[in-house]
Amino acid sequence: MKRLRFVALLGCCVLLSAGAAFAGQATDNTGCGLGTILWGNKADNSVFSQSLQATTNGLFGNQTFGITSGTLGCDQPANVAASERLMEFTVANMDNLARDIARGEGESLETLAELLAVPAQNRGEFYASLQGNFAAIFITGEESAANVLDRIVVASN
Amino acid sequence: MISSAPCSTEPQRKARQRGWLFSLCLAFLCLLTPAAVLAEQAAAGSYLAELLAKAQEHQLHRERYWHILLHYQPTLTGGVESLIDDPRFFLGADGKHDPAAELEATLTALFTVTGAGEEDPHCRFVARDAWLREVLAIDPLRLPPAACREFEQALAKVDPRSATLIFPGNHNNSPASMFGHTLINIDGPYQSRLLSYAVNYSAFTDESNGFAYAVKGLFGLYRGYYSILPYYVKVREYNDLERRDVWEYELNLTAAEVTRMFRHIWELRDIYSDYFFFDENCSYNLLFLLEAARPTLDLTARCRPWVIPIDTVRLVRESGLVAETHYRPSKATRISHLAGRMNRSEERLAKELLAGKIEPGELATTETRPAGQIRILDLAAETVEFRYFRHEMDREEYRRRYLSLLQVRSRLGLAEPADTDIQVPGRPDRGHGSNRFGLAAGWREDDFFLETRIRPAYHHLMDADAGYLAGSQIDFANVVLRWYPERHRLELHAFDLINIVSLSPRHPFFKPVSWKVETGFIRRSFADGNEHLAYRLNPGGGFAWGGGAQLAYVLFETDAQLAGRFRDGFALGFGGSAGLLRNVTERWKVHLRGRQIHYLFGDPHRGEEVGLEQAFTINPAHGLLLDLAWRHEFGVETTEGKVGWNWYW
Repeated sequence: MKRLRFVALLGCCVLLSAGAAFAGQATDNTGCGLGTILWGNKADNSVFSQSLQATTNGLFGNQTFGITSGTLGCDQPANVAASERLMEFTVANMDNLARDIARGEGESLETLAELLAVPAQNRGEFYASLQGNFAAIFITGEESAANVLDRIVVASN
Repeated sequence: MISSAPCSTEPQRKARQRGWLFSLCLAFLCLLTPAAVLAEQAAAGSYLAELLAKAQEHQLHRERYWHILLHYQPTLTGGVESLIDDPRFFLGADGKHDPAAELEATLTALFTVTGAGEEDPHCRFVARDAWLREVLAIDPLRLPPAACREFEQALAKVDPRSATLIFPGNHNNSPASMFGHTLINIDGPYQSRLLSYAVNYSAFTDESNGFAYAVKGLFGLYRGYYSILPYYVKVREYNDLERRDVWEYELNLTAAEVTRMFRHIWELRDIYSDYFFFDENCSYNLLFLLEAARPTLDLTARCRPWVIPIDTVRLVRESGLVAETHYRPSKATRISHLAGRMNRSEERLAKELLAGKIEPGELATTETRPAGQIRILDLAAETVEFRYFRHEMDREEYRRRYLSLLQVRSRLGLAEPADTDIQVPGRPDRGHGSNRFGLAAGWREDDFFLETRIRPAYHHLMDADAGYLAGSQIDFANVVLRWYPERHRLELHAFDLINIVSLSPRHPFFKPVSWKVETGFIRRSFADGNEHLAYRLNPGGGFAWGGGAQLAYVLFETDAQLAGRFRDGFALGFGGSAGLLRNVTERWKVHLRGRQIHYLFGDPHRGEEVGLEQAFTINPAHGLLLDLAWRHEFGVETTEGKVGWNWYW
């Protein structure tokens, strides 16, 4: 019974977030796949550009209050807070999530489990089944966050 | 829509009927409204007058919380001035300097309906609004109604429960991270720290010229803004991209206190203050937020004229705010840890894998045990991502390689706990203080001298490493005075404006360079056989090897010196230095170094020196030193030795 409720909840989350993702992709396709989140030239190795931050730890770009807009312009369901955060988290942490799923442990995986409300006693099983199904979750590395979440639900059944 | 216009369907008819009704009601209301509104406004006006009198009577504008919310600081002339520079932050004409006028203007604004929605003073200045309602016991029914939907939504989403002070330290080879940085996390209902929101104060710029950027940062020419972003974004940035280990100091603030802080953060949305690197910087400005949470704290007034992030962490700890501490190793630290756990054949396979000589799938055919395969794959995946961040591979290649590594990895189960458990290093706030005062006595040739020195920031190669990065040195404004009693002579021995050394050991998977920049005044021998002051600029670059308890290095150097005593007024030369830095025990550090420069331009000559420095740490606040040095400049040999004591605070 518990398991059923959990799956239903998962399904709900995924449907809502999938909707959000597709709405987002219409305007902005950057939220998809591994290797999407990059910070301009911040990681570039020149001492010169690094020294920029010496004085100010500067903000680049123009987002200062990013409380409600983490999915790169996606429309968010206004009243399902959990799924909004789940979607935002997945979009922004896809690479770490892929790594943690492959390793069967890690902080992003724990965070995903918490956002999906996986009960504490089922977490070990949840992590193991995702690890075992890694190849079915990440197939091309270009799948969107909604897609990945969708497959995670299938894999954890 | 045009095609359906001729046929009036049922719902549309109903709508039309409702429209009629609505218009009627509206007309009726129009007749009534002016009178009602006028009466209401008069009542509100008298209530406002009552509240203004009450505020005056209680001298509310002198209240500490009001000064916290407006960021007022005392001025030298006895008045106050807000550190916020954005005129939009003030409702009164001279709100930046006049707390009483600002309070009156704010109270008046709460009774004025502007129709600006979210920009209405109620919603714009939610913390002021909440505080005034509370201290004046304002009857909400007698205030114009105001719904602040955006604020309420943000508050519901962040859902403040507690807060954490975040300190991303510096990393070995980044001048950018020099002193570290501080952020405040607002923790919500989640267990995962990644889901907190990080509040940051930083300069806002798209400047790409490094020099202009640094200068502007020093002189307050940038605008600083507060920002709030998901913490996982910040973790990616500091931990993964910038290779900075992060320290998290859980604060014992209550949910009510953090909610108060959040209200104040909301007020600071899109509001700027001039950013000054030394004092009004990231760390200093965050202290206001903590005061807004718990007004009994007095943090901003206790700061030094220069604010170093780690000092603010200490200040917060000394104020009794810190509950627990967590360490978050960076990606680079994780890679180094894994590399340290590998045997030779695993290391070789990892290198081959990264070089593309073997495919991840081929690992299973080698003799490596599964635990070793896991180490190799985990290290390779982290490193591939790292290289992608550094633009060393494009996204397509990254995806392909990352994915194929992870696919093979996912078949191997969990890593050995020792591969993921990284030993927590010394807490940065427990390291030595960044101010240093020293006394020493010694001989220079036959002359006895007494020496005193003072340095406001930050860490020297010979200072105790605990809480700092081994092999790093950032000294600012170090002044050394010497008194030679026999000659009755007091002289400036050295004034190091900036003295930075970054020794970053070579590593099987990272190939960092080491470098140094020294500039300031030094006392040295000249062709006349005497010592005089010279101004020196001395950059260098090279490599370091080792790690852990010892480092060896070689640096190629350029040395430019200016002094009236030089022929043509200058000497410019090239050469190098080499050294061995070793922690013999946890408290005893030894540095053996040699340096030779051939001055080819200006006043040609040769300079050589050899030194042996030793430091003994008594505790984080006190240390002893024993230095021996030999110098040879313009054919003049000088030997000197000294013993001394250093006090850190």
